[in-house]
Amino acid sequence: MTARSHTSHTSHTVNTDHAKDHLDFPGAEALMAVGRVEPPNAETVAAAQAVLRAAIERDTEAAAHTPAADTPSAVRPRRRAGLAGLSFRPRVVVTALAAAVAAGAVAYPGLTATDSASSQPPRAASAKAFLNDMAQVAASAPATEAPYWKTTLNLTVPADGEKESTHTRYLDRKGKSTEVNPDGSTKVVSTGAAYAVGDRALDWNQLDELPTDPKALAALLPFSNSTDGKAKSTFDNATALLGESPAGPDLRAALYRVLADLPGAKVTGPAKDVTGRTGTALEWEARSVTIRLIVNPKTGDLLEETETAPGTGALQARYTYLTNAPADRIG
Amino acid sequence: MTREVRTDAAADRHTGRDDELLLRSKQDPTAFEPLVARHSAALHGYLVRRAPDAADDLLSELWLRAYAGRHGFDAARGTARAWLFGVARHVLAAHWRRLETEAPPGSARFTEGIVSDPWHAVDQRLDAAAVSPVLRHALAKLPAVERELMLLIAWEQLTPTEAASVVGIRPGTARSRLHRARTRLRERLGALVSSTQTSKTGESA
Repeated sequence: MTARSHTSHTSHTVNTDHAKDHLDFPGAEALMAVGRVEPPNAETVAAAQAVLRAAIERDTEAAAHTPAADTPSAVRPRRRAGLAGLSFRPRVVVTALAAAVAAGAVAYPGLTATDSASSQPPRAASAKAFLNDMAQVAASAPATEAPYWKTTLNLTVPADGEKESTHTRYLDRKGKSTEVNPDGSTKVVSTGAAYAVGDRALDWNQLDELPTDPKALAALLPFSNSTDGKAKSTFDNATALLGESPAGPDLRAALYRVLADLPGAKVTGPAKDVTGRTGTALEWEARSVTIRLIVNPKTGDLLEETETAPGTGALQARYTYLTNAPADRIG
Repeated sequence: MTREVRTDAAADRHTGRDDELLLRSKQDPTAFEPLVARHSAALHGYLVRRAPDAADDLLSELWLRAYAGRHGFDAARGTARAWLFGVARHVLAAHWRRLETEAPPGSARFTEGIVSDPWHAVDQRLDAAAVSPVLRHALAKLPAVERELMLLIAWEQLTPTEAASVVGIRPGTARSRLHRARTRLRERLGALVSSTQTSKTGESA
């Protein structure tokens, strides 16, 4: 079954101001079910009513020029202490990528003089050449035998007042996914397939079985029902695997070669991600979004992916891949 | 759903009454009070889904804020219901800001800023309900505005126009955002559905 066949039961309607029109995707029912909550206790509502009534009485009495009654400070809502004592400690793990640097990874022309953001802009280099070089860098990293793969994603969003959020997850070889809560505790969140590859969801072992010939891999990457277009879907799935999956050196190399074969990307020069890590930026224009990637040219590590509106440049989403590396243990 | 399902007719009738009460309360504060009984369940639900530990206290705060700010309600810009959810959203944001400033500099919470993010609480909720990691990941990958709109209609059962009013964007923008979100979710979750189907039946549909 595909998502498209899902729509066949939905009657067409001219007025789109109905929730159901926007909840037509696989998993929508599960999402709605999660929203079910018990109604508030009668005491809770009564407390709110009492607080409000006091405020109203204060106003009406004031309006009637009567002396103020009991002051409202007595009815200020109490506030609980909140979530105190968080002890979230991100751990640095030894990365395969660091090892690649030590092993003398392929140098990227234009960034060899220095590794700082102030090095000369590699305007002469095409995105295709750069991405193919990144494929070589990625291929030279050692494969890992570590029992876990750790990913830390920093998700930043443009909404007013909203802060970034960090998601740390450990995947094991059997497909068990463990998330580290902000208080440092851990919780097993899932088992099984965790990575979208085209129309399939794969686990770690299955990633190792993917073809590493770029053309064969490219054929598997896009969603068959993509409405964004095949190229965009290929791009999205390739970068998701590069940024947040235990794809091995050969697969990572193949993913970079797939990106290299997509037309329209351009290298825009040295750049820093939001955490100050330096890399080389590429831009890719899709129909409704401009995607910027920052890649560490020395390690082939995808550092950050930013989506902005093409006209205004307004930030739509930013994925900063803080960790994407093997780990010996959880924590 | 265990919650009352609103029919359009009932919604229209309530909407008219609520708007009128809210407008009238500008001169006659007592007109405000019936709104509490009518909307507390929905507003508490909004709070409890996003800040489960603080929802009870925040509900009182919400009503005080709404009452104090009732002169700012403009029926031309949205329904009373949407306006109340907008107040709830501000109360929630203030709550998260407080948590952040209460955390001493250098503490994990201060530097990580995790608890101030609404997605974290929502994601924990999805997690606790054993929602598919692919769905969670797909939602996490949505821009926050799209996700917030999506949740406002899925959980709060707001119309897209109301959700737009809550978030403070134009209805047309909200619809295009929602469309985009749905497209992304379909693409990302279509993979899951296909995969599940394939593994169940041994063949692709």
